[in-house]
Amino acid sequence: MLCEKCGKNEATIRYSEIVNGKKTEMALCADCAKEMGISADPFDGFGDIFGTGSLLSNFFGNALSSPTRRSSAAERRCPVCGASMYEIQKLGKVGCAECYTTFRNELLPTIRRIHGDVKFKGASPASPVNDEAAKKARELDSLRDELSAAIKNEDFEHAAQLRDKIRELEK
Amino acid sequence: MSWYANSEKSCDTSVVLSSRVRLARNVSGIPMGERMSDEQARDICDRAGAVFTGFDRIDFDRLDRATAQSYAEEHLVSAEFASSTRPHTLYKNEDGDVYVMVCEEDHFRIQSITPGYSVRVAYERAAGAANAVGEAFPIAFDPELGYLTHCPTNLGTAMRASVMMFLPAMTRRGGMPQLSRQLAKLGMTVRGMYGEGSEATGCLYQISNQITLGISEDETISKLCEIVDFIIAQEQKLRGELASRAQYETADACARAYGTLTHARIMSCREFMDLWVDARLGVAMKDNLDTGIPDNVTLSLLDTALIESQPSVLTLLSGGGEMSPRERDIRRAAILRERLSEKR
Ligand SMILES: [Zn+2]
Ligand SMILES: [Zn+2]
Repeated sequence: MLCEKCGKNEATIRYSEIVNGKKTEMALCADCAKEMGISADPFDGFGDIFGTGSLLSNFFGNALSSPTRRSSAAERRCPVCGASMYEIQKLGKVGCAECYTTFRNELLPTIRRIHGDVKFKGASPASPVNDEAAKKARELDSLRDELSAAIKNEDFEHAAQLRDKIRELEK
Repeated sequence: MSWYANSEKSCDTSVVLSSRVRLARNVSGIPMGERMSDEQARDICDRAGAVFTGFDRIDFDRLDRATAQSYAEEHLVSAEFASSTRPHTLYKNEDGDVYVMVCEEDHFRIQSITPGYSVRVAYERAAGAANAVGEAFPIAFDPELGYLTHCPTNLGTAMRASVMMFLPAMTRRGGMPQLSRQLAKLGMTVRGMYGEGSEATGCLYQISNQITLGISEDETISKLCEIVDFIIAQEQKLRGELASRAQYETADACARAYGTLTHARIMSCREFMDLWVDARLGVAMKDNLDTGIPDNVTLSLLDTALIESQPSVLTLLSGGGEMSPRERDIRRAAILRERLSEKR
C-alpha cells in the first residue's frame, strides 16, 4: 500500500484521529508522518487496518513487532524480487526463495507458529531419493505383476498371500 | 488411464479411492507468483519440456475454459491452476499417474496420483519426477528450512501426502466434526472434496498432512497411514453395523439410488451426488447386502460416472458447446443410464 499523502512511498504508519466524533484513518510513509509531526509507533496495529490479504496474514501478525529490527526491516527489500517485509506480510507469501534469507529473522517466528519445529528433516537436493521408499515401491511393483500372473493362472491361494503382502507394504 | 478408472488394477477402493503425493520445488534466483514476469514464467514452462520428455504438454493459458476446468474436476490440477491466466503449463506422463504443474504458486508442483491406498508408490513416483527437476534446475533449498516455497506453510519437505476417502457411514453417524478436531491435533487435516464449506457432498474427503517442517517424508507418510488405517477400521466397523442392524433399510436405500440413477431423465448435480453415495455404498457392501445392483457396476465404473457428471467434464463429453444447466441435467441423466445400466 502506498502512502495516502504523497502516493509515492510505501506506507508504514497508520495515523488515526477523531474529529467531531468521527474517526478517520490514513496510511502514511515515514517521511510524510515526520512532516506532519506524527511520531506514532509505526507498527502499532499494523495488521488490522490494511486488511488481510489471505488467511495466512494472521500468521504474520507479529512478524514486525520486535522494536529492535523494526525500522530496518520496513525499508529493506529483497535483492532478487524486490519484496518488502510489509508486502510479504500482506500476501502471506514470499516473493522468492531469497526472501527467506533477506527476512530470515522476521520470518522465523511466523514459521515456528506454523510448524512448531524449525529443524529440517527429510530428503535434500544433495541426497534426493529416499532409498527406503524407493525400495518399497520397486518391491510393490513386482508384487503387483506377480499378483496379476497368479490371478491369470487361477492360483488364488498364492494371490491371496500376495495381496496381503501388498497391503502390508502399501502402509 | 487415470486414478478413477482403475478397473485393471487389483486394489481395494471401497474406502480409499486414491493416494496422492505433491512436492513443491522452486528455482533459486527467480521470483514466484505475482512477482514473476510472464516471460520468466514462460521460460520455466518451456525449459521444463526438456525434463519431461515423453510427457504430454498442456499450456493452460491457451486452453478454453471448459477444458481447463475439467482438469480441476478430475482432481488433476488445483482450481487456482485451472483458472489462472498467467503462463502456466501441465506436464502429464503417459501412464496418467504423474502430473507436474509448472508455474502454479510454486514454480513446480509435482504430483503423483495412484489408485487405491498406495501412498508410498505415489511418493516414489513424485520423488522421481522431483529429482529430474532438481537435475535440470538449481533448486531453492536451505539446510534449516528445507525446500523454499512461496507459502511458508509448505517449507521443509514441501510435501503434501493425502488419500481420498469415501466415508458414508462415518458421515451419517455425525463423526466428521470430531474426526476433523482430532486430526488437527495430530498435524493432519480433512477437507470435503465436493460441496462448499461444512456442507460436504459425496461423502468424499481428503486426509492430508498439515506440517511439513521438522518431519521427514517417510515419517509424514507413516503418520498419515497410521491415521488412515484407523479411519478405515472405524468406517468398516460402522458399515458392519449398518449391515447387521439395518440390513433391509440400507439395502433398500442403495437399491433405490441405483434405480433412480439408471432410470431418471433429468438429474441435477446435487441429486446425483446423494444417489451416488448410496449406490457406491451398495457396491462396496455387496458381499453383505442384497441390493440387486448388477455385477458390471463396479466401484471404478461409479467413480468414472462421478467425474463424468461434473459440469465441465460433462460439457466436454457432449461436444464442448455451451450448455444450460437444464441441458446438462438431461445429458447427465442420459450418460448415467448409458454407463450404469446392467450389461450382460
Ligand atoms: Zn508519503
Ligand atoms: Zn525475494
